[in-house]
Amino acid sequence: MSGEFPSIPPLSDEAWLRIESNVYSELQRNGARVEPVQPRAKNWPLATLAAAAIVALGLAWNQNQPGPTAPLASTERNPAPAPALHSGHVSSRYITTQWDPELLEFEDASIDIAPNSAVLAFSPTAPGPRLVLEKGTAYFKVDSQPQGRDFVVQAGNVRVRVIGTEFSVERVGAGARVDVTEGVVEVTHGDEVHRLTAGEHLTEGLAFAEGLGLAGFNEDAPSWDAVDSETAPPRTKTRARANARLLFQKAATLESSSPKRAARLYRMASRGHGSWAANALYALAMLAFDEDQPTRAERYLEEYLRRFPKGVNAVDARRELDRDVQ
Amino acid sequence: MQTVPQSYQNERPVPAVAPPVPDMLALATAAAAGQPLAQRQVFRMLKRVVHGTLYRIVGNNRNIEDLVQDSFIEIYRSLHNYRGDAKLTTWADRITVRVAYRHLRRRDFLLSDIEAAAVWEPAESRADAREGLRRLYAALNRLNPEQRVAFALFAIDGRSLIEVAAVTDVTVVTAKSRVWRARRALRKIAMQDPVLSSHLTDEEKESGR
Repeated sequence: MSGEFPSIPPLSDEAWLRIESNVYSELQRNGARVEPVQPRAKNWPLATLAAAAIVALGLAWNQNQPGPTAPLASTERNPAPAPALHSGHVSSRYITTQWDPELLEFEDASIDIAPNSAVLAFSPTAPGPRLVLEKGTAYFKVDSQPQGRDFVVQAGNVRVRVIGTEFSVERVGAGARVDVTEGVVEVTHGDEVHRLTAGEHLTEGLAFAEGLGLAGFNEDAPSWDAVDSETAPPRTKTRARANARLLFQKAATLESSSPKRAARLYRMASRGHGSWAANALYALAMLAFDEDQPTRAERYLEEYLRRFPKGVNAVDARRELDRDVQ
Repeated sequence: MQTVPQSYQNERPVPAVAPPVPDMLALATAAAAGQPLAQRQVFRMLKRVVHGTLYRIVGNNRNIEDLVQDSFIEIYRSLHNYRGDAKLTTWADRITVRVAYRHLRRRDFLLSDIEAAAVWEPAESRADAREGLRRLYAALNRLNPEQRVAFALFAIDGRSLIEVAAVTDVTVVTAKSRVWRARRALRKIAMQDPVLSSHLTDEEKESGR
């Protein structure tokens, strides 16, 4: 509705005196419960202890060379800070997720790994890619890289070089889909090199089954793009929807405290099809409005209307876009 | 020589350095322990926030003293639970909204309370704007408390959805959903009211069909 609302008429000083006096009388009559504020007990989540135990047993770590067994990078499950790594020490870490997403943090990047994913992460000083996406989806926020250092993600037969940006990579068959939210990435497949900027996406490498000699690649890994095809098995569709729902739910709990991370998780959830993906895309648009990013919000709303023209929020999405046009 | 205006001659000079912001947790702890000065400081700090929130939800100052009183009693009784992880004003706002919910659910107010809003008006307000406001709050009466509170805080009080979510203790998506549903319901009601419909934009009239 149009128009501004009038300012709030103040209460008189007499009214405030009355209120204050009544409050204190009531508290004295009924005895306000007063308890000393207890300092919060240190809370060691079970997951952190479990992760520490796993580290101690050496089950989670894969070291290419003898070196420190300290964590490569901090994650939610193992929040210990990453130590400075010296040249000559190459550490790697293999992370798999099942039902919950995982956050992997370097000094110069943070990576959200979607449920049902598998990645191999390397230290910043190691040559070659920083991360190999074996299965699933990961969302990256990467600082601008210093001269002479590249942040590279390998996903099947697609190589993504980061120039300081926010983007996601999803394994699709032998290739990958790359979506750029902010900044610029360079995507290489064979001899082809593409530069993607914010709002662009590219799916490469699907038609080619050539590998790059990297062990452990699962060319049949299900992707969210494929889950609604007639040939996709029902279990794959169910798993993809469950992933979208879990991501959505996780993102919803983070909106107030960590809106940027919530946005990344919504983005991952929005990759699929179905109602959870639609809800996630609409929530992403609303978050962008809240973060005062109307251009980005418009882009998400347009994508929503393109992909879910009959979605529950389609009317509102159209209304929002019309309002922005004005 | 510049003379000091009469109205300022008895005022204290403005300090050169702003006074330090009190430690909220320490203040809350002291007030919870019953220290009168701390309790008064908490009251002064929160009175406008509490009143403002309740006014936007309820729509008028009639019987609002009781609500303000109830809110402060709840706030003081809960001060020992304050951990300092949110601003004291935000924390108190949550309690105030809960008091408002209870009030709305009991439907303690009558429609005449809304009509009383027309009694207090600045002289320069237009008659139809006053009537529109009265009918808006009458329309809000027809919403469920959750939608009403979310709409009042967002659209009338001008808070962000993140603030509304924090104060009403729901997710931002839920807060958004409540505001949207309230808007849709109010739009339908407004379309049938000649005074309210005159305040709708053309797009709102079109989308309400």
